[in-house]
Amino acid sequence: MRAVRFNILVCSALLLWQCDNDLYTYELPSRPQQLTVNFVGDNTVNWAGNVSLTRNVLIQNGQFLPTISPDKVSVYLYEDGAIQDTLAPNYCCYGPYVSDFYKPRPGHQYRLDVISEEFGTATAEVTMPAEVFPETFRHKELGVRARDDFHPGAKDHQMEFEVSFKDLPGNDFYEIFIHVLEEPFHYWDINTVNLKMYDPNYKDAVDGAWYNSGGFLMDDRLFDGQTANLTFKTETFYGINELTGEITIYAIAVQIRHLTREYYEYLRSYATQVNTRNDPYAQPINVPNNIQNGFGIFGGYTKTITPYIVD
Amino acid sequence: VRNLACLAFLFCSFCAKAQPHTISGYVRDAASEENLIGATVIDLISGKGATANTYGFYSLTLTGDSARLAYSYVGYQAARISILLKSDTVLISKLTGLTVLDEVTINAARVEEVHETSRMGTVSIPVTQIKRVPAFMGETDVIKVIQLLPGVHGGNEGSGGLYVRGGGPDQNLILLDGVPIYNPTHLYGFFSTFNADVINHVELVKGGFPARYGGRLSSVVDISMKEGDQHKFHGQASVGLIAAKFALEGPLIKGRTSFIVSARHSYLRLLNEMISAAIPHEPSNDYRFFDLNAKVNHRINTNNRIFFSAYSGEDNGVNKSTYSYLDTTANVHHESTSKAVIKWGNTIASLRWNHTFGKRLFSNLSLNYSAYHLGQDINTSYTGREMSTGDVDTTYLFHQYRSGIRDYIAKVDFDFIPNPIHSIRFGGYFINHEFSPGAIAIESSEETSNREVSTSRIPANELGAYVEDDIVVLDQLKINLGFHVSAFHQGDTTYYSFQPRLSVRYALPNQTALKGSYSIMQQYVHLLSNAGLGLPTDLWVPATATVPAQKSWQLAFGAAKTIRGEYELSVEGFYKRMDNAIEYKDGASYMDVEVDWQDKVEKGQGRSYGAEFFIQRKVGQWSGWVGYTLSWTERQFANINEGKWFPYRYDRRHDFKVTSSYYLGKHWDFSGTWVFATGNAVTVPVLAYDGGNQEVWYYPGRNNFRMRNYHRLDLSVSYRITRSSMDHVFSVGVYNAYSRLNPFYLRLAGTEKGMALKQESLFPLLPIFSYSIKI
Repeated sequence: MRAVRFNILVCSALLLWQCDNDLYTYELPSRPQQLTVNFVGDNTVNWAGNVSLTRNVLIQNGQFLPTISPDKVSVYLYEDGAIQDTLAPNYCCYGPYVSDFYKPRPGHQYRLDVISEEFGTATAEVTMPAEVFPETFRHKELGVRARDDFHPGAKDHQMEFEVSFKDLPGNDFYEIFIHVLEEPFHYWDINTVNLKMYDPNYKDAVDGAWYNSGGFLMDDRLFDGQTANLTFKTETFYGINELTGEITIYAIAVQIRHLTREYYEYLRSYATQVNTRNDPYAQPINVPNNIQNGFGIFGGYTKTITPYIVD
Repeated sequence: VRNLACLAFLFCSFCAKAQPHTISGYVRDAASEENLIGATVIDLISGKGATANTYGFYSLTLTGDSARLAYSYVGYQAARISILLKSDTVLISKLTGLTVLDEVTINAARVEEVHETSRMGTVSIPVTQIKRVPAFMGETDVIKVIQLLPGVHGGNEGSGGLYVRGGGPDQNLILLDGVPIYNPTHLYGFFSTFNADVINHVELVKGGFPARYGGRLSSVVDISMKEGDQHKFHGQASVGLIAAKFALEGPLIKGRTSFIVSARHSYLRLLNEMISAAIPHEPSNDYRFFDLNAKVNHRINTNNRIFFSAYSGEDNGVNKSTYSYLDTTANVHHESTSKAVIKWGNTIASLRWNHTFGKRLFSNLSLNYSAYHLGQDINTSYTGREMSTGDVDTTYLFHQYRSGIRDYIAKVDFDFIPNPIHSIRFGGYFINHEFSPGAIAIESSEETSNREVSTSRIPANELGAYVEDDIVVLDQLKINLGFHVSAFHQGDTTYYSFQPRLSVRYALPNQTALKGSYSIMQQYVHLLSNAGLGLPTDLWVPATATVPAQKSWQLAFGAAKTIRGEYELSVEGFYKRMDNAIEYKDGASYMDVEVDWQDKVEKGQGRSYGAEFFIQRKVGQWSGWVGYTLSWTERQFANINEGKWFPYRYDRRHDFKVTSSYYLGKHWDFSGTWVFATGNAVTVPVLAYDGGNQEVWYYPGRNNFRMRNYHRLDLSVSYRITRSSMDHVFSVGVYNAYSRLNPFYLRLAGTEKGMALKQESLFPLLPIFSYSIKI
């Protein structure tokens, strides 16, 4: 009977101790704020980026992350070890810094120092990759089929595109786009084709539509130092008049972006994190960070856009 | 009640000088002739002893001219017999089961005590004890009871998984009558497939593995089914909160052939239909599971016996929903429907032949079959009807997923006891595996999306052999030495493995012993499982050239003591190292069969170390155990957590369990269980920063945060009464008696004040109810 009495006593104590029926909410360990530096350059525009601050993930601030006053931050850009520019803040709004004169140049090494009295110095280095141009480009129509929607008579044109380019030795990273140019060389008014890639050899090497850009992100593991031959397809090519069948566009352009490793890794993991962060079954993924004493990305790409005029 | 029935074939003659003679035979239940696995036979004169094997067979060679044998088994009245040793002798000993009242008053039942055996990390759980533990939803569950042992836990709340000494759920060899079962769970893992009414014996091995076991790194759960009463028919039926079951056993040929059959079926469907009728707009769910056990055995003669046993079980869950509305602006009526079906199940069969060669050699030849299948169908459709024109736009998507594994197994085992010094086991096996690691078919209104990816079935063959010897070196020193060799061939790849095993016991005074063990294990199958709820997304895959076989070694030291023959105490410290453990890469999905599974996994290593404390009382009015584990478990993968070691999700610093049962008179039985464990390790972000389009979350490391501690109290009381030759048992109780909301998973959720890291819980206080009747 002593055992029974003991059990009753223990159970009563536990009942009094624990009767919480509300959803339990956790506290996260606090971490000090740090600088966030995001500068992604390309060889066609001047250096530009943002400086902001981190925040505790539990403090909901929508898209408005903590900013830092331009008066409290200095941003210095170095090219090949020598100071090149002090980036000027855009006082319209906290965050953006731009270079008035300098673009990233292929093959040059850059360093960024972001100095804050309160948050220390965040720094990062990157070497811009060389420009890569397509060697050949071909396109052909594979077929036409009626579109099953509310537009009677509408048709989808299936197209195939073949692109080749010479890869450099070493680890390289690319993003490939196919654009439609409706007017000669109005690059700012181009339409990007939604592509698919059926070549099974590339099924793991490429990451199509990673952030709905229409581009294909890939490394060079399948063609390192050789000529890459890539074949893409699209189901809904709209450069053809649906009623007459005439080509309505001026050119199809191939854009090849040659990415820094840091930016490539950032893109791949960033998309995965955004897509899976609300999935309780998915393992979380960290976004690589190349900012010392801070967070963010200092990287970029060199891009070439090569138009092929459509007859 | 306390009678001894002993059939003896005594071949006695005078003998002028002492020479070795062998006493062999079986230890059986006096009423049903069920084999008593693990029963002990001790010669009280010489102190020599033996333990009955899985088939109740024992062999004991003695050098004196007489013997005084004591037979004992938990829950049975001990028996003694004195004989003159003139020649080799066959003794079939039949022990009488104790009634509840007997168990209250008699503490004499005895098995090989913990300080006597050379084995470590091995726990036998009496089935009577399993049935007394408060049962979740009233369903007695072997796996749930095993989870209450030190060094073992189930992962998530309510889960039927087994995580043993830091190992993963795929590293457990779960055997039913010697046949592996790949997914021993029902109802998304909340119940095990084992029906306690047809179980004879349960043993867990978590370290110091004898050489006869191979193929998994972390544990062996060896479950033996009953064989059926050789003389009388018995029936048993019971109902719980979610399922009903029955078992029937009896003789086909009295004294020679018997059978046992049992079936269980859930009636969750009835509950779902009632819910659907009450709430018509809610999604309609249907869930059902069943299992069926059957076994027949035939005793050809004293030296030959054959067995056939089979199990089949399946789960089938359906979720249907329909949603429609009229868009008055566009004048379009939209209707979406979805139907998701998931089903999985196991089927096993085993044909065995026991044969004794003389008095010292026992053999078991078995031909086994085991299959596991998983299927998922997801059917969604959308219809948009433009009300003014009648134009209809229809889209649909049918998604089908299949996977599975099938084994054919041939196995032979021998027990050879040449003299009191050696007890040798040896044998070999051949397994033909066929893996079906995921086939998918997609049919869509967009024809271009249609595809069928059928990953080819992957055959693989596994061959192995073992030998082990339990050696009495000195009265104080006993060792179990052996090795297990195996080879695995898949495609162009062949793996070989040599796995030495050693367990040592050194006896000290006062029924105390020091122990040590070392074992190497190798595993040729991997389980790809999602890291979340433990849904049955299990995908069994073979070791390949790219994903090599898993290996482990484990070193353990400890001490064991028996107090007054009632209490067993053991303390064990262990260190386990695992190589080639696998885990899904970040962002990989098991549904994406277009990516080869080998490209979706990371290969890494793991380590686990700690200490376990265990006190158990198996006999008497009060029985139960207290277990505590202090341990550390970590993993390392080259491309996860920057290549640094990180805590395993189920790393638990503290794990404390108490299980207690108390007989009050012959009618009432009170039971309680309390468990406490450090919370699981999970990965949560601590910082957010600007990432361009959307903010980026920063995770300081894999599994960087702890859920809060887990603890739970279960209580039950049973009332037992006999009326008209029928035993009635009513059980009521509560699961999670103080309604602790234990963590199931964590999620970041928006609140009025901002984001909050919230805990989702599954089970508050739940009632336990069951009623069983036995004839």
